[in-house]
Amino acid sequence: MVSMHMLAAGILTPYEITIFLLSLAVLLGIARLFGEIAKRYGQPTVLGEILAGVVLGATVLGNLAPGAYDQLFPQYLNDHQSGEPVFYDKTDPETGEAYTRTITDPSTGEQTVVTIPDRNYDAEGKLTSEGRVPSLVKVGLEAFFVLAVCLLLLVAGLEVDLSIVTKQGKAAVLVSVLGMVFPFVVGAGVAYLLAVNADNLIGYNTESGSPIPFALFLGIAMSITALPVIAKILMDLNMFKSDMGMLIMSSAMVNDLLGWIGFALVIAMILPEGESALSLQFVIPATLVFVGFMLTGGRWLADKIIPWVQAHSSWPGGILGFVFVLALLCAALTEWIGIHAIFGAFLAGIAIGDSKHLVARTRETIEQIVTYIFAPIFFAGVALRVDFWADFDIVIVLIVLVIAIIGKVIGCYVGAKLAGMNKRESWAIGFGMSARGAMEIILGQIALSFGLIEKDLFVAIVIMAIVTSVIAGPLMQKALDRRQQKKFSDLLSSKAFIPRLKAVTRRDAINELAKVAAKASDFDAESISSAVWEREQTMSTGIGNGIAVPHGRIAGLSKSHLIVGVSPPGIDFDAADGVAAEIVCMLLTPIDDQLSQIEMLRAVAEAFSDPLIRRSAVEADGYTEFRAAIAVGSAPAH
Amino acid sequence: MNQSLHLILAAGDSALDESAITKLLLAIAVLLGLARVLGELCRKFHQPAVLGEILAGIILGPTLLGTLFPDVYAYLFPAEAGTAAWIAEEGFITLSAALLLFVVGLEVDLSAVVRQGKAMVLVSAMGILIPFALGYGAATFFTDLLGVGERASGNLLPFQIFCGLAMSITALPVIAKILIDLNLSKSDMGVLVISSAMCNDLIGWIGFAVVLALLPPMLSADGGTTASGGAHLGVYGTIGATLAFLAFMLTIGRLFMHKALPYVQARWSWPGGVISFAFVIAMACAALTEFLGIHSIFGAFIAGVAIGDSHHLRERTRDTIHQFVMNIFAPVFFASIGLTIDFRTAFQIETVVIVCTIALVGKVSGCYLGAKFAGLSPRESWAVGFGMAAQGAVGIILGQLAYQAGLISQELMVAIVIMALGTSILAGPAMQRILQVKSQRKLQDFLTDRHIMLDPEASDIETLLHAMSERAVELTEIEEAAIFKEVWARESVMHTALPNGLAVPHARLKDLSKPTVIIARSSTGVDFDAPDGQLAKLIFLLLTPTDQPQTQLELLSLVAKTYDDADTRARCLQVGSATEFRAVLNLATSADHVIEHDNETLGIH
Repeated sequence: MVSMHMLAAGILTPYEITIFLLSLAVLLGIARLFGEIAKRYGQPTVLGEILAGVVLGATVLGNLAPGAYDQLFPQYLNDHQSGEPVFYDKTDPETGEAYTRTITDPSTGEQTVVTIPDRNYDAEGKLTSEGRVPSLVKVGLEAFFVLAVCLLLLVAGLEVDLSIVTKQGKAAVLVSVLGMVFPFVVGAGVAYLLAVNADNLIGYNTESGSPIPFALFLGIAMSITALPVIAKILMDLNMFKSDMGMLIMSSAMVNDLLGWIGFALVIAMILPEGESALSLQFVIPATLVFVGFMLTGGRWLADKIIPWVQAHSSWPGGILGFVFVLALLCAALTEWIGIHAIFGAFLAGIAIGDSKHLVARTRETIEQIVTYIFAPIFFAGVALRVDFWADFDIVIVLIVLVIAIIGKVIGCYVGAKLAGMNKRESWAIGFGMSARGAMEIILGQIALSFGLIEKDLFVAIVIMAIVTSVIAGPLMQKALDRRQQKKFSDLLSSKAFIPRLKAVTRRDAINELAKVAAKASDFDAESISSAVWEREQTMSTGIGNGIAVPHGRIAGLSKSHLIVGVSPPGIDFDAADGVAAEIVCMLLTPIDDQLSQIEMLRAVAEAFSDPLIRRSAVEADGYTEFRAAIAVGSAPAH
Repeated sequence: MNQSLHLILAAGDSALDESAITKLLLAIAVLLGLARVLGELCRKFHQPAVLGEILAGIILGPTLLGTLFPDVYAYLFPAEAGTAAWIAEEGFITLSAALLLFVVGLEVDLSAVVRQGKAMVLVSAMGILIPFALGYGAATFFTDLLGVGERASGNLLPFQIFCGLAMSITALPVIAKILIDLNLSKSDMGVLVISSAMCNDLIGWIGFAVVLALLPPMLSADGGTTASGGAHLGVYGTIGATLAFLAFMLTIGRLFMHKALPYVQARWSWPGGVISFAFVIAMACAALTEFLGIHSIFGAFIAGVAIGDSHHLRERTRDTIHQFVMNIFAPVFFASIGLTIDFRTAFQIETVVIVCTIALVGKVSGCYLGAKFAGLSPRESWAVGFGMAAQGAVGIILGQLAYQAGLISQELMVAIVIMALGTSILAGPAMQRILQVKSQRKLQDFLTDRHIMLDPEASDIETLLHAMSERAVELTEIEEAAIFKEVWARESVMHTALPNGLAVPHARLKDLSKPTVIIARSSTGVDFDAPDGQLAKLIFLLLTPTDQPQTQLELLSLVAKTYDDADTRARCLQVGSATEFRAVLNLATSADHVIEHDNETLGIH
């Protein structure tokens, strides 16, 4: 056995730093890539990020190329020279006595003294981590994950706007309470029944003590809602600012708040006594006092301090620093109380985010960095150590899925009906609220790390979270019979783009675009061009500001097409403002689809409303830069 | 050790347990919090923020906290290597350093450097050669006095080169800040200084990479060599690989970034896609250079140079990355420097004096000569010399890394930190004095909460001006009657209304010691007989001493500039307290800056 000196050697070795940075780069890179691909297909980003973890982690890489997996995400420390595993010392080198620690059984209160390496044997006497020292890279990565999840919850908290909740009043309370109580009761009930059953069908960790906290946890897991996913769906459907959108948002906020507080209490219940410095009698009141303070006094204080910070420190550095320090302090406090650090960060987020003095720009900076740097790494990290193949249990997955969807949809449907919504809207609310997304995965991850649930249940929870997020959007759309708004960039295609139009007249330009359209649509250029020209002659389609939208309805066309041509010198489309058209967008729609043409016209007008965007689009060199100019302009940041 | 075992073990399957997490979060919060607070304090007194950030580390480190409250210190920053919290903190600091250098690299504009041509080459070459020669000489003759690290004691060459480099480096961010403050950043001289500093930075870091490659492998506790990243390549292998990496990144890598950025912006969500793309590249390059045997920050720096050079990187994205790294990661890194070293025991006056003298004399004279040769006037040449002497954060990072790598002793490291801070503090005032220009002031520099009156009870000009004059009495110690008389006399000649609901009553007073601005906000509005017929809702009373005729104009233009923006005016009318009022001003003046940049990149003026 190699002794412990490697750990004491001082700084991290260059090799460890290399691996640490490389694993971060790989996790972030792949997670973002998959996230973008998921987004491209209209799926939640978190789906792609989790998949990245599955691919890089124990499931795929760990099974296909265990060597590479071990190199990139080492679990245990090896001696730097010999490559031999490093183990914990069994005995104190000074006294020669064996290290011991006391383990208390929470259900019986019985105490057992074990020697330390024995801790690494599971109930059946099988070696678990074999007494090996964890790799320093693993420690570093996990520290990063902890920070990341805290920041993630900070952002989630920032999004909660308590004032909206109070304005929505009765309806929000009804939807959220019924939407919580129903799945909670079903989830907790089923979990309890299955857990006490000898078969342990549902992945309850029998070592964690009494099944009651487990049942409560599953109840909460079933009743939580994912605020960011829902917000995203509502924005896509252009319903964010509608009454129903606000109702869903505020119900989801209440839901989140209650869910996380409940979860904090569950965590407090399973803390073994004597393990933490603080007992259960302390943890629960302390949690409640902290929550109470942050939602009242803390909120008020944050509202007073933020202007002061903004007035007296450099902007935006001062306020960024303040937000982070407060979040980390609250996180450290809740961790010290004995519940997880994320609760503190979440509550800090609520207290800060509620202040109207926090400017949008600050919020945005925090949100962007957290969503695009920390979140992908965290979600990929969640899936890293779990073997989704080996721990996949179809029975558990089905049970969890059914309870989660049915419980939530029915609960929210009833709540919305009682609040006076019509049937169709009530169904839509039910489906929308059933999206679990990222929050559920965080919940599962923490329950797993506290030893509350087994890996197979964790896998089921992750799958459930993803499935509900994926189906929520389409189901809502169906229930409301609404179509998703198309953006200009969704209609663009590199095949239907002419970077520099050769034409100098209207007629030639239409001919030129029609030729490209013919290739894209399998239609002959002649008939397209004549249809568009006919329309053009009735009234010219220059809409001003250097944009022209020649268009035509073509009989027999299967779907709509947009063909874009750029002409820096400009082509005269006889616009009212006399400006020659620099960007010509040809719109071809099937003859029976009236809506589509209007929608496309709106998309064009919206995309080029900003003179900056028009300018950079005209100057763009090639399709990619053109697309970039539009994408940068249409981002919600402005 | 005993305790650390328990810490790691208690976690079971996961490597961090509760107490380690609590410590980690608390340690970062305390470091960041104190560093930010002291950094802001320094800024208030027009000193570089990094000074305060390092002070925070000294206060929290063994120098103060460790001596006064050793228990607290040991709890927060476990000195015992190997505990989970320690490794976690170390990992975070490593990451911070890499990100910091990434941002420094982003600021280097290679094409600007190339455009400057001869003058830039002269200034930066002379500005490097002379201090380098002096530093190299000092390292040769005063080896022990300067304090060579144990790893370099066998072969002095890396140590000598390092000393030369440490004396010749320049801090780009500090200079950029000074030039902006003096309103010189767009002048010929400003551009010359900035591009020379960039060139300097680039050469300095490449040289440092070579020094690290020259070092013998690290010795581990039992006398064997540890698996240092570059050991497998040998000295020349490391240098060769480093230069190859460098050449690749600055040519093909740069081109690749330039092509990849529009693609990422077009296909990925904006601006998140670009931000993560930049971070991935930074971390991958950092990992690569660490693997090559030089430090990870070098790769991050070069990645920054390659990405930052593309004009496709929007100012907005740059800004987001910059703000986040500079305000969250950088303070933690700088504060962490003070954590490891006891500044009292490691302070050696001889070393400090030698280092400070060489750095200052070498750099100022070198750059002065270079600028003279390039045809600048003596006055400008002196200014260039002092500007380039600022070492700031870059010098500190260099010192810290060299110390960690075992290249230099604690004493020399402390001396370098002190020299870097000293030169940064000196550079601004020295340049200002030599060029006799004034630093640009902002409206809020004249204000405290007492200077702002929210909704005083006044509905006509006379009552309002009386009320404001009364407030002025407290702030200027001049009699109310005297103030009011002057103001009213001016107001009677012609009303002082500006468009958009602003009014600027003003007066010159003989006994006034410094210019004073008093702002009154009137929600109902007071009729100042404005040409556009609007009631004045924001009234600025500008009092200036008679002997400063320029100040009045300056204040007038400040008011006009600050309130040019309709959003700022609207916000000021909504605020509920004087502090909030100042917060709005603070925000308005910083936001201006960003927008200006944005338009520039798009080519719109």
